[in-house]
Amino acid sequence: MASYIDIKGKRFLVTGGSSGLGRETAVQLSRRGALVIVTGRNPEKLAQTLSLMEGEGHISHAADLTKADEIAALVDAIQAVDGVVHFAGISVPMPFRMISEKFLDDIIASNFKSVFLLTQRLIAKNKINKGGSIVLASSIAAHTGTVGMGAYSAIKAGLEGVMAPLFLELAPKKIRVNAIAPAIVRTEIFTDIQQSWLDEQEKLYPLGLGRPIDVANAVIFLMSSASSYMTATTLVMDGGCIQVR
Amino acid sequence: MDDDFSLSGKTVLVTGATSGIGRALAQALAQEGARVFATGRSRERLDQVLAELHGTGHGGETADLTDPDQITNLVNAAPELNGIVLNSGVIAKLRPFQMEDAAHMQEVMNVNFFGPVNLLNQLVKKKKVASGCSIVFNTSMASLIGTPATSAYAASKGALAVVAKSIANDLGRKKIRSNSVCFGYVQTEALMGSNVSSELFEAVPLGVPKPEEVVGPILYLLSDASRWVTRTTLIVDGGVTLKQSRTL
Repeated sequence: MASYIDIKGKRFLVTGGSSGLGRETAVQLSRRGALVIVTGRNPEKLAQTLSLMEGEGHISHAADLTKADEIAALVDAIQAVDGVVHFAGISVPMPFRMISEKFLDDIIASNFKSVFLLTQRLIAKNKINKGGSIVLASSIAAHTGTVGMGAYSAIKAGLEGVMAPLFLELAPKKIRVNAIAPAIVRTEIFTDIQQSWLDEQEKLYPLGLGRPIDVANAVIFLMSSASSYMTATTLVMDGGCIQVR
Repeated sequence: MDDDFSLSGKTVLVTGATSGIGRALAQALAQEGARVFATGRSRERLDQVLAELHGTGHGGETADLTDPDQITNLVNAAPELNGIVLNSGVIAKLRPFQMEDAAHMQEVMNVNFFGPVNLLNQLVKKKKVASGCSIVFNTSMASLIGTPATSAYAASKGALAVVAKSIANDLGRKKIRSNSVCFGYVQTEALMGSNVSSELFEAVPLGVPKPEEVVGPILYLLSDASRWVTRTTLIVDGGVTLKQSRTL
């Protein structure tokens, strides 16, 4: 094992851990000897994630992070962590002219307020250790964008805007804040019908579409001391996609 | 288990390997089981670095990258490469733009930009760059924020950061990746020996690291864990540009 990735025995909180990138990240963290707390809304799917993880000492805790009382219960239930990665969120394409106030409120609640309020609570309750690492799941949509992603792009850009002020406030505790900004990753959120669209998209990617493990590896890097002096930065990962600025 | 972060068995060229980040990187690569092909200008210091590397199979050749003949010699001596780290460079004389002159700017561009880029160009043409190879350009926060009194240096590093992206586009279909790492202050001999004010170091939120403390991002970019990462810049500055961009 590569010795510069030193996360063995460290404890991490992974949100959105019931599927996709969150699940893959939880599993890959566990394979490297980390202790993982996974959270998500669906207890059965969280149990599946737990069953895929290696080693002992992992915990699942179901929570809807759009609800303040469930955030509080989650934070109260866990031991202090060395890092948190926020994968929880939704992505629903919607043309700008059709975005209702309700749609906007829902996507802000799921993708932005949840991250903001969970992080705030973790800090208030001293649940992030000195030297810890906070990783935000941004998206290439924050930097470029495509039709139908107006709300999503804005919210991901908003998350990245939190990084610098949050880090500067946490700097006395050497807690770092970074973001990952992936382009298209093949996960189970894409339906069978979307596979031919994905194949078309892949032609724009010299290195192919992303795999969940590519994103998990980026998180592992940002959780490890290999990235000790990286903070308030965005790790863009797009396989060299030719349509991305 | 398969370890995407492993560097074992990879052959990696490191320029500027005789001091600072380059030497620390060569040592870390050797520790991780990679084969290092090191280069620098001083025979004595290169031999010393090579002698101290962990394990076997390492090699190197001296070269002044501003001399085309020495580039040719280096390229001919180089094995097929899975990783290339273009780290060599000088810290230019600190001088405000009003005091800058063409000869100094040309000299800085020759050492920091044309040297490493011409070397890479020859390595590609002579087929020393393996499919799947990862190319890493070491740049500076000067390229991000245009630090004061360093116009020549900032320009040379900015040029590297952009050429890294262009190369990523040109070589992507061959599965060759190209990225840059943008460093803030690091306790290298070159920086500590320069006339940079130590007061500036106090503005760094996470402190000023030793060279061996900042090689991690390069190791990540050289490994298969970053298989999908190309044409990007990792900023490794301890948060200093968050403050300097506003206060200077």
